[in-house]
Amino acid sequence: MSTHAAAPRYARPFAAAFLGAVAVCGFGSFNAWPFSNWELFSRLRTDAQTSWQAAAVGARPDAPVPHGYRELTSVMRGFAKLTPAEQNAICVRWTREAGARAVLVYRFDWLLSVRQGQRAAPPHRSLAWTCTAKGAHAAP
Amino acid sequence: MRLLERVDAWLFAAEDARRLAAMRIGLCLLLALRLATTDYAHVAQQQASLFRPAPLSYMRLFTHMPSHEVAIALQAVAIVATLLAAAGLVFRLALSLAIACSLLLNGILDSTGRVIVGDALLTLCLLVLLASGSAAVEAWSLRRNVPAARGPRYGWAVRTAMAVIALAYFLAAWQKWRHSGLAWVTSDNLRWILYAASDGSRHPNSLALFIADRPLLAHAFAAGSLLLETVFPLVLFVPRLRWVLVPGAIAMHIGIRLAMGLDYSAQFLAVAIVFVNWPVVVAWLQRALTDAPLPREASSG
Repeated sequence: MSTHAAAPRYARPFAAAFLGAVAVCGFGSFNAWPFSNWELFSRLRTDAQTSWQAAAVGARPDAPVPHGYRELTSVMRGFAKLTPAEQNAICVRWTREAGARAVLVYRFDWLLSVRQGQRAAPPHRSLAWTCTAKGAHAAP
Repeated sequence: MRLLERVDAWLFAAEDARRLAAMRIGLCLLLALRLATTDYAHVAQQQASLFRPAPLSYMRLFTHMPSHEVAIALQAVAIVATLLAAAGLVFRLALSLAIACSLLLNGILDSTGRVIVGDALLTLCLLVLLASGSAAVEAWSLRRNVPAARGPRYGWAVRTAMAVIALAYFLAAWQKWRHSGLAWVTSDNLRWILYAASDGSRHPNSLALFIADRPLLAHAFAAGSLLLETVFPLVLFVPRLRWVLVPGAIAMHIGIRLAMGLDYSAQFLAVAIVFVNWPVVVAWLQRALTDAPLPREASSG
């Protein structure tokens, strides 16, 4: 059996750079997929949970509304920290895409530790934002 | 300096050409399976306002999601290219095309506000495989076969892929130590993760609830997972530990799938493909089949 098949000249720099990139993204928390930061489930969870739902008012029956997407929660998580101009831009787009007079965004809060049988107890619902063609309005 | 020399000697040790070929066949077939069974088109057609690529994502080159038709076309091209690469035909071109399409398709999934880690390790291993070049098609290929070849030419890519996997598991542990510390084990963290996963699914998950309802069991699973990820790099230096840590990692991912519905099959199958010495397995099977007693001839009565 031949054992003289040497690695190509580029192999060493490639392996060093590739493993270096994996390590730098991981240790530096840079998420440059597929060079992941591997942070999944690394932060402590608490029993306090929040989710979001949107409802279009006066929408076309066939129009897409944001509440149909699980990604709404990830948008709303940082929504309050956006500038008013960014909030308005998102709200105007949602209202237009839904063909609605308004899109109502509700916040749901509940505790995982409060159980009713196999499920958590029902969440507390509150209106958080009202989106219209003019922009975003925080609920009082 | 001596440490670097030892790392270099390990990384560039000789391996059987068939081991690299097995990595080619396994990873390419796994990618083809992922491409064939993942629905990218449903995300491709979503609202422009929900196109949210990650800050460092290559998807920032685009202003919106590719269309439904583009996603389907990419999927079809990638599957054909991946199967050609698995067979060892036009390997570098086919695998480059398959990886490019796969990156775009995974980019679509990752541009909805959260990055999905599931296929990352498979993609990293495929990039290493691509770098191995023509060495990957010198055995078990439809194109050509070099009988009984062995050397660093075949070993470096296999071992780089092993090192990538080991590093990935260690980094997953490191992030938990960094962000949560020992509280990742001692707090109710895993219980909340499991309750949330069960509550978020259509039907309550009895396995998740069984563990979450028992704090000590939840702590034990959390400790086991964190220990496994932390010590996983030992598989590189203590080959005997592969018999424990590789099945342990696979079992962990299957457990996550059963309890939380999260699909890490691409990751644990990539681990199995890279770490199992397939030429030895094939030789063992051949021996077992050769030594097996021949089936009796059917009685003509």
